[in-house]
Amino acid sequence: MKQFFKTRLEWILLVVVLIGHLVLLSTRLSRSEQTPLLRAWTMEVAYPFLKHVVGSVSSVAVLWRDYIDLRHAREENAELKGQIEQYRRTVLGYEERIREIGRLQVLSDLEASLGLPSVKARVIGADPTHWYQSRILDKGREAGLARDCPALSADGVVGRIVQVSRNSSVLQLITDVDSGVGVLLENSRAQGVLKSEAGHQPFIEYVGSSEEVVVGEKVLTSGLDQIYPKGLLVGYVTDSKPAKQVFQRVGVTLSANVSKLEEVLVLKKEPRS
Amino acid sequence: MANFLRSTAVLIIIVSTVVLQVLLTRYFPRLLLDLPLVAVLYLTMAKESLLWTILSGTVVGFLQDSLSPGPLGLNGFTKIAVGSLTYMANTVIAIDRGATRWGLLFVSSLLAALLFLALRILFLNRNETMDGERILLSGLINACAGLPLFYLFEKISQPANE
Repeated sequence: MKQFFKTRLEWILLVVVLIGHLVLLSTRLSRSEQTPLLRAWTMEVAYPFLKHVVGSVSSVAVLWRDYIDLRHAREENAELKGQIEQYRRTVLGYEERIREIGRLQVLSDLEASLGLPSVKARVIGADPTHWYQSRILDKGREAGLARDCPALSADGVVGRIVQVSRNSSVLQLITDVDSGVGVLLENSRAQGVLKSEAGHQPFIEYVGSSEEVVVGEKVLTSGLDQIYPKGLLVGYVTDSKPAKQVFQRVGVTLSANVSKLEEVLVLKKEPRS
Repeated sequence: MANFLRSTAVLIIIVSTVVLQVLLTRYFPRLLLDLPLVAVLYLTMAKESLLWTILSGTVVGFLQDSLSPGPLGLNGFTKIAVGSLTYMANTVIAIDRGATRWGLLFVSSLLAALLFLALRILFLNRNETMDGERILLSGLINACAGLPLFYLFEKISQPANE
């Protein structure tokens, strides 16, 4: 008998398994509403493995996809950054150009309102020593500039031309220690000379001590120096102090910011008849 | 030929200091640094030749005066005079130490300022008010900026000297 089982073991196993399957099938058929216990157990046992294996595979897949995406994103990011930088530079350039056009437009308006022959010039440099207050302009004799041509900004008088070459000129600012502008006060009509001292506020000399000076009063060019046309705005009175002899010293704040000049309007000299 | 090229290079450096000064003061109007003076003093100390002081002082002074409202000769005179004094000091004291150089730059800068003002009062009949604080500050700035600039000039002129 033992011999029989030994020689036909595989077959017996086959039959048992088949029967077992049939039993399983039969249980499934009989209670189709519920998951068979064995199946559920099998599923429960298999679940963690499946979960991790499939999860791992999908994680790797996601990781790989992310990596690919990241690589693309990085390249795209670098490209976009470059584009943004380029756009930013372009915008900055445009903004600067717009500001410049605005300033030049203001000068053009001033030119039109003055009705005097003039030239717009750009500041290309400043004084190479720290003793003078001057600017170097990009226009010279060829553009019609000459010595003593007055220069204005949109806010008021800024100085006069003191040196001229063919294509450039030196503009002496009204804040220079050697500068002197003939001025008058708008209300009192008191006349004087606007002067400057290094590092100090400009002031008007030779205003009689009997003149009534009002703080905030406009200071205009008098035209008596034969350089600046009469009536151009120079600044405003800030204070007044008694000076030597019969004069008072009138402090002035300039209407134009001469330290930040970028473009100026230079009035051409009218030919003397 | 090599000497000519070397001299040309040095002159270009000198001219560059004036150009740089023009640009610097364009954007920093209150700058008290006098780069061309520092360049002249450097040449005086480095070359140990009065000829170089005169040449560089003349070139720098002429350029500065040309681009300024002031009369020609004012800056040239100042620079040559101060350069010559530095040259004389150079023959007496060893100026290879940083502190000595700093002191020499400071004193030279003060002298240049005083001489400039004196010339304006004497020759141009200007009623100058001496701003001592400004002159001292200018001296300090020139001395402090001068040391690294000396080093830079040395670096620039080294290949030419070899």
